[in-house]
Amino acid sequence: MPRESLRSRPNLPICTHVSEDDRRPPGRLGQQFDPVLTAARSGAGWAAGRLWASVGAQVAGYLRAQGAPEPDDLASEVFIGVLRSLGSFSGDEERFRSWVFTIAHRRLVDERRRLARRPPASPLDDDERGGASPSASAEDEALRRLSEERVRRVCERLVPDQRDVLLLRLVGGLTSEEVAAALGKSPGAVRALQRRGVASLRRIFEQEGVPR
Amino acid sequence: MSDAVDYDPEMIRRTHIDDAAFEAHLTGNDAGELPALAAFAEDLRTMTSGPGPAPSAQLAAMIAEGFSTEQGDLPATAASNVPGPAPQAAGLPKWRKRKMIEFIAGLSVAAKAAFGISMAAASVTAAGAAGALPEPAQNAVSAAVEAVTPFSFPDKASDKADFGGRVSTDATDGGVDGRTVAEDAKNNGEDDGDGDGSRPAAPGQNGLDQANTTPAAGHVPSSVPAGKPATAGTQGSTGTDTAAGTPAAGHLPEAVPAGPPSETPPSDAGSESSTGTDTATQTPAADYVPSSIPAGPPAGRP
Repeated sequence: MPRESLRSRPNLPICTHVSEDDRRPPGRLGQQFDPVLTAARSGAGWAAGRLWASVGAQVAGYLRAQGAPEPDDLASEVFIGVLRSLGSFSGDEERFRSWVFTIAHRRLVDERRRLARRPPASPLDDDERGGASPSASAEDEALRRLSEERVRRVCERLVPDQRDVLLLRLVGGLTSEEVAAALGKSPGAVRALQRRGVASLRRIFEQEGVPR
Repeated sequence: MSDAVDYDPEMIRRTHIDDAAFEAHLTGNDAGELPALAAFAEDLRTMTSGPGPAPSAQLAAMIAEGFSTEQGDLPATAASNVPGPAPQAAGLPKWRKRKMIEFIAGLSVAAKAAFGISMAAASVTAAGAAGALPEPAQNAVSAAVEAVTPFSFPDKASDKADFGGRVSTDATDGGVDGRTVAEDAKNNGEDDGDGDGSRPAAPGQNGLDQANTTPAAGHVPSSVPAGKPATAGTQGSTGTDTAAGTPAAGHLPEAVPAGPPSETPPSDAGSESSTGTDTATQTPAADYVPSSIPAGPPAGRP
């Protein structure tokens, strides 16, 4: 059933069933990952482009959901660091994603510290963000903006630690152990934050999840 | 912005949250057990779907032209574009700089000029003492300093010129150590590379090559017959044995007379049972050796 029709029907959760393919983060390289990674390690630009295409949107989305002021530019900076450090990485595609999101989170923390010392000159409005892709249809773009707005509102009400855990798990696809390593916490603490984060989501949705 | 259709509160209330349910949702095996989480995740998925953002100019250049991963976190920069070292951050503390400026500003014009000349002279003198100036400037500074001070600067050229004289003086005074002379000559000739023949032969250069660089080059034969390589002789062989293997073997005597014994007789330490008196009776002073020596105190007594 198309997503639009689900959204148009009242009193029905939007995710009654999502297939495994739909849940898999988009842009996965699958079996092509190893040769692409090998080429990227040797400095091949085309391979860098493939890797960027496979995770760039998720990294930018993660940074946007975290409230980064210029998420697309920050995502590019993250990926430049990733490309330059490829020589130190080894592992499969899952580990690569985990590694990229760990770098993205740490870069985000650095950016927040920098902005705390020197606030940004002026916030950009939606049109200036350039989030709309030239190839996206107007309908897809509208849906994306709606989703982005809902996510932003929910994330603003989450405790930062809970938000970090939920976003790294849901957007980055990191395991509890990988999130723990990225955040410098124990896996048990991450699971506790995850439970409390989901409980917070429930409360948020109960209180204002039916906003009109 | 959002409306009521997004999240169903009834469904949310029926949710029980545990780790297994969360993992089931992430792996796609839940059946709406966590609708709040599912709705949130769906919004995240929608937000991050589609093509990625346009890369920045720097990232686009890396994708278009390739990049280097060998420098870790350092940017890939061509060697010719590497900037020079940053200016030294450390220096005089600000308070000392300020005091220095105040001191200089307080001087009269004549004092400032004298101060500047003094600083310049001190700098040139220090450079001259370190031998860091070019040859003509070094000679000028050396001459000037030696004329007005009791100090003398080392001069590499005159030092080399005096080398032969020093060897000659040493030889007339009482002899020279050949190894020391050789070491000094090597050190003198190693560093200049001026083609004056003072350098040792380069690797691969034989005696003929070296001879052809001397004034007697016109008399150097084109080749020298190879000789038999010298042998050190075996441990049990004598000098006669070794000489018999040379071209002069036909002129060797039958036997070589034994040489005179060493002028210094081997010291006789005395046998284990001999006494000092026994040993003394074998010397030219045997007539003066007493027949017995009274025993001393036993060892170990204080």
